[in-house]
Amino acid sequence: MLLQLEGIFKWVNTGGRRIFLLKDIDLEVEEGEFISIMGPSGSGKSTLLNVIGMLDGFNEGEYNFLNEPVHQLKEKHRANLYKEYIGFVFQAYHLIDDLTVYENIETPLLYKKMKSSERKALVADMLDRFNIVGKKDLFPSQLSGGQQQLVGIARALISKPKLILADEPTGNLNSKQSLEIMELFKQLNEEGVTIIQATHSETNASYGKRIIHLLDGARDDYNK
Amino acid sequence: MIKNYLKIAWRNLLKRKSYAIINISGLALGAAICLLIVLFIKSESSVDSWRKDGDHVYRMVLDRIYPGRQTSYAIIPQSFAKTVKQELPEVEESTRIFNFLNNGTFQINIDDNKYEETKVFFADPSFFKVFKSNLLYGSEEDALSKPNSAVLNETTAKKYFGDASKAIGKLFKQEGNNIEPNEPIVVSAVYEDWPENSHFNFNMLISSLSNQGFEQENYVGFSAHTYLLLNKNASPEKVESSFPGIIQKFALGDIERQFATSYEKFSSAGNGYKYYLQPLKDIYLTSHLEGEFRVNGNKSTLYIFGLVAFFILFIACVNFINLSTARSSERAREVGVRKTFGSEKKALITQFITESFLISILAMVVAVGFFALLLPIFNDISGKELQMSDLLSVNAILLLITFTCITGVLAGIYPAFILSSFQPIEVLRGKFKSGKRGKALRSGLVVFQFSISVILIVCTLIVNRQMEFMTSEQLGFKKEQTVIIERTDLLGENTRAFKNELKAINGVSKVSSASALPGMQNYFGISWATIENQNEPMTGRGIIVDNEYMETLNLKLVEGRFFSKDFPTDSLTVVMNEKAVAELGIQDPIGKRVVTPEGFLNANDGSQYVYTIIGVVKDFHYQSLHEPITPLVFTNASKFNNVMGLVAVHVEGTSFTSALDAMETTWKKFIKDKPFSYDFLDETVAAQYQAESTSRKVFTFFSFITIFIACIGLLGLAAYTTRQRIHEIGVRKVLGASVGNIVGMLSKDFIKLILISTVIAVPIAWYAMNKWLQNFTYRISSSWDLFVAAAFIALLIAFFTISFQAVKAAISNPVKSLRTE
Repeated sequence: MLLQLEGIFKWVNTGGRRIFLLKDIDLEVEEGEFISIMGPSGSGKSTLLNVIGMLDGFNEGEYNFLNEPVHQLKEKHRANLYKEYIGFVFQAYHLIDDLTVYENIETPLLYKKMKSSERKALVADMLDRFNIVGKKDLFPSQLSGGQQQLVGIARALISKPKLILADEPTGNLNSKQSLEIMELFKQLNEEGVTIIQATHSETNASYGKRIIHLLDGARDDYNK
Repeated sequence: MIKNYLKIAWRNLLKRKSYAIINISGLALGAAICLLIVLFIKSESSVDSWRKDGDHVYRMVLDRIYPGRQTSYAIIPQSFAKTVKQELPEVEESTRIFNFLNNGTFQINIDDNKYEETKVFFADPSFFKVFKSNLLYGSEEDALSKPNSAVLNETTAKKYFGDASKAIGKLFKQEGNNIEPNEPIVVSAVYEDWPENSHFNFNMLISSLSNQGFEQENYVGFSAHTYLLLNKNASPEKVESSFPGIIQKFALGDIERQFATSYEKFSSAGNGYKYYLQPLKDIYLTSHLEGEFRVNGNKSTLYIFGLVAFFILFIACVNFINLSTARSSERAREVGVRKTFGSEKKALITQFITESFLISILAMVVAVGFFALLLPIFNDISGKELQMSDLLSVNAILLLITFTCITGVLAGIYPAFILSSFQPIEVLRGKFKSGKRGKALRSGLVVFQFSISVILIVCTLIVNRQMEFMTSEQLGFKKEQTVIIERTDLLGENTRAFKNELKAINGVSKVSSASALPGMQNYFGISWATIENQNEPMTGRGIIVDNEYMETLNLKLVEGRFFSKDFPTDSLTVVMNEKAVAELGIQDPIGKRVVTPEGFLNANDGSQYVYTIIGVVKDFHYQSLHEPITPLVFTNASKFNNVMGLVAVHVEGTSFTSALDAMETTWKKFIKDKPFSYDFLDETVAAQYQAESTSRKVFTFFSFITIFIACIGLLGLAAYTTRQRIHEIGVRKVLGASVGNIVGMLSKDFIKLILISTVIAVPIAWYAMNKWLQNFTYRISSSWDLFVAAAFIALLIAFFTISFQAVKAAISNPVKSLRTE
C-alpha cells in the first residue's frame, strides 16, 4: 500500500456558511497504479491532489503514506516525506524563468545536497531520455509548451519519486503535444512509477488504469 | 548551491535592468555618503591620538572671571609652567609654546634670500619631552636648549636646505618680525613631520631662551600655551585642586600690582582666575577658547553627521526592502516551485540574502565611484581634506566590507523572510496577490523616508532664512565697502600722516582709527559708574576710537554729539550706546559725569579721572546676533595720540580694487618690513556666523541627497505599482478615463503618504529648529509658511517622480495591456 485516505473532509467557512471542498473521501493507492481523477471545474480535483501531495492540509480524516500517519506529522516531517517520494507536474509547468532547462531539472537535486558529479550524471541521463539534450542551455521562454512540460516532467522524475502527481498536465497543450505527454506517462507507469493525474479530458483519463470521479468534493463513482 | 544562487541573482539583475540600476545606485549613493561621513568622523575624533604618552599630557587653561562675565583662554601667564613643575610632584614635565605670530608669517633670510614661513613658534627646551617625536638629525639634548637655536620639521628642512641631514648647523636670520633675537639662529635638530591630525602643528620651533622676555616673572598676562606631562599615576583632578594654592602663593603680588588693588577687593568685585586641565586628546573636539591655535572641531557636528549617515543609509536600505517586497509576486512562483521541489525555508532565505549581498557588493563598487565624485563637495562643506587614498587604509577597507555585510543583511533579511514564507499551494494556484502583502510596511517605510526628507527640507529653509536674516538685518552700521587695515599700531606717531594719505586716495571717503570693529572680539570689558552712585557700576564693553568712527561706520546719533577735533577736551569725555545709558539708569545723559576703575583710563598715579557723557548713539550690533546688545562706551583715542590697532577705511564708488592697491602702496611707504594686512568689514561680520554657514551647507547638501535617495525609491515603487495595475489602467481607458484621471488615480495613494509624512515631520522639525534658533538672540520666528513650503516642495518632488511613471502608463495604448492579460 502506497497511500490510504480515510474519511477526508476539507472545508472553508465563508459568510457563516461552511463550504465543503472535499467530502468524506476514501482512497487507497497501491504502488504501480495509474489513477485518473475526473470531474468538472470546481469538483475538488486539484484540492485532492494537493492533499495527497501534502501541499495542502485537511480538516478531518486520516491519511497514511507508506504507513506514516500524515495527519499526525509535523509540517517539517511532512515536507521531508513529499520531497523524498513525490514529484509534481503542473498545468502551467512552473519552470523557473531565470534558470536554463538543465538548471531547472537540476534544482531538486541541489536541495538534496547531492554531489556535483552525481547531479551531472543524473541530469544528463534525464536529458538523454527525454531527448532534449540540445535544449539544455535554453531558457523556458525559448521553448514550446510541450517542451516546457517535458522539462517539467523531467524535473519531477529526477529525484526518483515513488509517486507523480500531475494536475491537468496537458491543460495548456494542443492535442498532439497532449498525446506525447500521455504516452510518456504511460511508459513511466510501465516502468513502475505510480501516477495520479487530474484531468478534464476523457481521452487522457482513459490512460489511467483506474478512474475516480469527483463531484462537489465527493466521490461520484457510483453514478458512472 | 551558492553558485546557483548567484547565477539566478545575476540573471535577475540583467533581466530587470532599470530595477537593478535604481536599487544599486540608491544603495551606492547612501553608502558613499556614509563612507564620507564615517571617514570624516574618524579623522575628527582621532586628532592627537597618534601621540606617544598622549594620555598623560594636559593643557593648562583658564577661565578669567570678570565682574558679570567670563572669558576662557587657551593661553595662560608664562610663569605658570615653571612654577607648577616645581611645586607639584605630579607634574613630570611642563612646556610652553608661544604663538607670537598669531598665525601670521615669519620672515627669514638664508644666504641673502628672503622667505616667509608659517607655523613658527617659540618653545621651551622641554618641548620634545612632552611631545615625544621622532628625531631625524641632530640630538634631542641640543634641540632647543640653547638661545638662538631652532628645530625644523623634515619638510621645512628639505625646503630650505635640499636635504634634511644637511640642515644641522645651518644659520639663518630672522628679520622684521618685531621680536628678539637679532642674532643668527642655528638649526639644531630636524624632526619627522607630525601627522596633520594634530590640534597644532609646527614647521619651525625657536628656543624660548632666545628671548629674555619669556623668562620674566608674569602671572597676569595671557601668552603661553602651557602643556603638562603628568606622572603615570597622577590624578589630573588633584593637580587642578592645587592651582588655587599656587595662585595664592605666587601670583598675588603680580595681580595686585597690575590692578592696583588688593586681591581681596579684586575678588570681591567679582574677579578671578580659574585654572584647569584639558586632556590633550580632547582638545580638538571640545576646546573652543580664546587663543586656540586654530578653529577646533565640534562634537555636536560629529553627532549630527553620524545621525545623518545612519538615516541616509537606512533610507537607502528602505528602498531596497520596498522594491524587493513589492516585486515579491514576481518571485513568488519561483519560491513555490522551489518549495515543492524540496527547498527548505532556510535555503530560500540564504538564496535571497545572497541576492541582496550581490547587489550590495555591486553597490559598494559603485559607491567608490560616487565617493570620488562627492569628495570635493563634501570637503568644501566640512572643511576637511579627505582624500581618495583614505579609502585604501586597512580600516576603510574593513569598513567597506562591514558596510557591504550590513546593507546586505539589513536590506535582504526582510524580503528574504517574506518571500520564503510563501505557501507553495497558494502561489502555484495563481490565486496569490502580492500587491497587498507588505503594503502597510511599504507605506510605512515611504512615510518614514519622506518624514526625514521633510524635516531636512524644513531645517534647510529655516537655516537659510535665519542666515539671510542675519546678513540683512539692520545691524545699525554700514558694513559694505569698508576695508580694515590691521596692525596700524606699528605706525606710531605717523598715524595721522598715514591717515591723511589714505584720505587722498581716489574713492576713499572716510578713515577712522579704532581699537575694535564690529564682528571682532577685542572690545575690552569695563565698568562705569555715575559719580553720584559709584557703588552701583554698570559693566559692559569698551572701545577706543577717533573722531571719525561714527561717520565711517555710519552710526546713528540719538542725542548730543560725537567726539570732534573742535573740542580739545574730548579726551575726558565718553559716548555711550542707548543700552549703556539705560543700564546706568540715568535720564538726560548729556553732561552727566562718570568714572571707571580701569587703570589705563585714569591717571598714572592711580587717581581717578572724571569723564563727561557728550553723546548717545543708537544701539548697533557690534557683537554677533547670538548675543543681545550690551552696554558699549566709547572713549576718545586722542588720549593715546590716535595710535590704535586698526584703521577702517570706507571706500565709495566702484574703484574698490584700485583703492585697495593704493592703500597697500601707502602702507609700504610707512612700514617697510611688515606686510600690509587687511580684511573686509562685511567678511569680518560674516565670520561670526561660520558655524551657521557650515550648518546651512550641511543641511542643504544632506537634504538634497536624502530627497534624491527617497525619490529613487519612490520612482521604483511607482514603476512597480503602475505595472501591477496596467490591466486596470487598460480597462479604465477603454471605459473612457482621461490621461489626467489615470495619473490622478496612480498618484493619489503616494500623495496621501507624503501628506502623512508632512504631518509627522512638521512637529519634529518645528521642535528641532526652535531649539536651534534659541542660539540666536535675534532670530526669525519659525513661521508656518516655511512648513507649508517644505510640504509643498516634498509633494512637488514626489508628484513629479510618480507622474513620470503614471503618465507613461496613462498614454500607452490600452489594447496592448489588455492583450497581455
